[in-house]
Amino acid sequence: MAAPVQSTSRTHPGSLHQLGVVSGLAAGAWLGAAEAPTKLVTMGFSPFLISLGMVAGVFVARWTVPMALKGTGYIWLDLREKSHLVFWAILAGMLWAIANTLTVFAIRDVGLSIAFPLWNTNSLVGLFWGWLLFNELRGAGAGQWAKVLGGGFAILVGACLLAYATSHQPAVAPERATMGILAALGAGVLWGTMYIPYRKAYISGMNPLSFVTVFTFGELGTVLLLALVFHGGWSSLLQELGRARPALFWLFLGGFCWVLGDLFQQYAAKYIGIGRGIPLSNTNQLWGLAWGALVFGELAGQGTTAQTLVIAGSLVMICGAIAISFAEAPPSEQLSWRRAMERECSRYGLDPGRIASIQQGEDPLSRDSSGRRWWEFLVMATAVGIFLWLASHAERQRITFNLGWMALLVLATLAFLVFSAALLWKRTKFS
Amino acid sequence: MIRGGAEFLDSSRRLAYIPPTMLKAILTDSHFWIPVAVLIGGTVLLVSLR
Repeated sequence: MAAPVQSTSRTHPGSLHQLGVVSGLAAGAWLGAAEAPTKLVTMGFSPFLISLGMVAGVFVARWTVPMALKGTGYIWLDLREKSHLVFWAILAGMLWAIANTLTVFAIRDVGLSIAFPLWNTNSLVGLFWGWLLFNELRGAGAGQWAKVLGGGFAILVGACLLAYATSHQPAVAPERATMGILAALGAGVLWGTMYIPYRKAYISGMNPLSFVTVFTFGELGTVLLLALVFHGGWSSLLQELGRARPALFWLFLGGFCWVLGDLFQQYAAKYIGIGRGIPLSNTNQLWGLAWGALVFGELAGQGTTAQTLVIAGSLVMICGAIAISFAEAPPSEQLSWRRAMERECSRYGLDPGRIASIQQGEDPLSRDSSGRRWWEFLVMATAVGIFLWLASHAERQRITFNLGWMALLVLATLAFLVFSAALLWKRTKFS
Repeated sequence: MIRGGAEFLDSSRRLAYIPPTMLKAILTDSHFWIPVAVLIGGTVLLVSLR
């Protein structure tokens, strides 16, 4: 039986919108920062191995971060209360893994400058599903439509300009071009469709921390299966993993940053929907560029055209993010969201009052869950131990970087983490 | 320690049990088949790219 809901925060639609926007921007910062450690990995490993190493790091972090924040008792209770969403979370993880592998083939066949804009359409695909299935933007005025659609397009165009300016691809082989374009478009559709389970979970009142705990099984299982298939079985995969051990720490670190970014993206999807939240988190391209250009000097020696494109792309992307930031859902649209929520409650036997309060940032489940368990400390110690063990085997990579810019970007990213996490805690207790 | 372990196993078992009515609700949810269809399409595309 659901416990009576009491207000634990002073949230109102406006503040929830701000919370979602801040979460989306923090997601961009951390998803962009996740690219930095992977740049430290010396080339020579297959993309599947790099993906597997990073996803393994993600798996470790996805168990420990939710557990540290809310405890396993809370996560189990949440999953049991909405156990139908376990299917959805695993499905979402599988979609992510297949899409990620498709991008490897797309880059191989048509290069990053063509592939990236194609798969980056995922935010528009997500926006479409949000409108069609979850009533996002239904009841919104022309102004809101213009801000969200215009902002989404601006972020997409900005990302395309940055990808074009920063990639140095050889000429595309015509016989491979069609398959490469199909792979990139396929990745965009898969990632865009992955947001259906996200939104489904959050209009059903699931905590993002519980969702990612299950999501990671679908993700790691599929990536492992693909790595086995593409590497010809366990023995050759283990052999290559052993060879990659000095670089695994950097991949795990990238995975850890990615988990933080992904968690913020989940909170953005929860509080402002996928139509608004996903384009905001796609500003990670801007942060990835900052790391590449300022810390690793990737744009050194580029001509005026490339530099102009980088500045133009960045400005267009920032304008898009600002437009979406001001596109708060009006009461008429909030009502449409509520109808979508009530539909889910009716289908899966959930309590609409309780789910509505969770969507407002309340956390009734925390009153039902018991305290900390002994195994939580064991899991935490194991996760820290894995990172320390990998760090002890890590080799310093031969790559030059600008320490000053690195310190500045680390500080800025940490500031986003502290500010956004404090805001989420204060208003929702990470609900 | 032992009580904690038993509790963990019990929670896992209860989580793994999906009542038939819930399974029916999932399988008759038209939303469910969209990501499933996209996943199948993506897998077929991936296999053809090998």
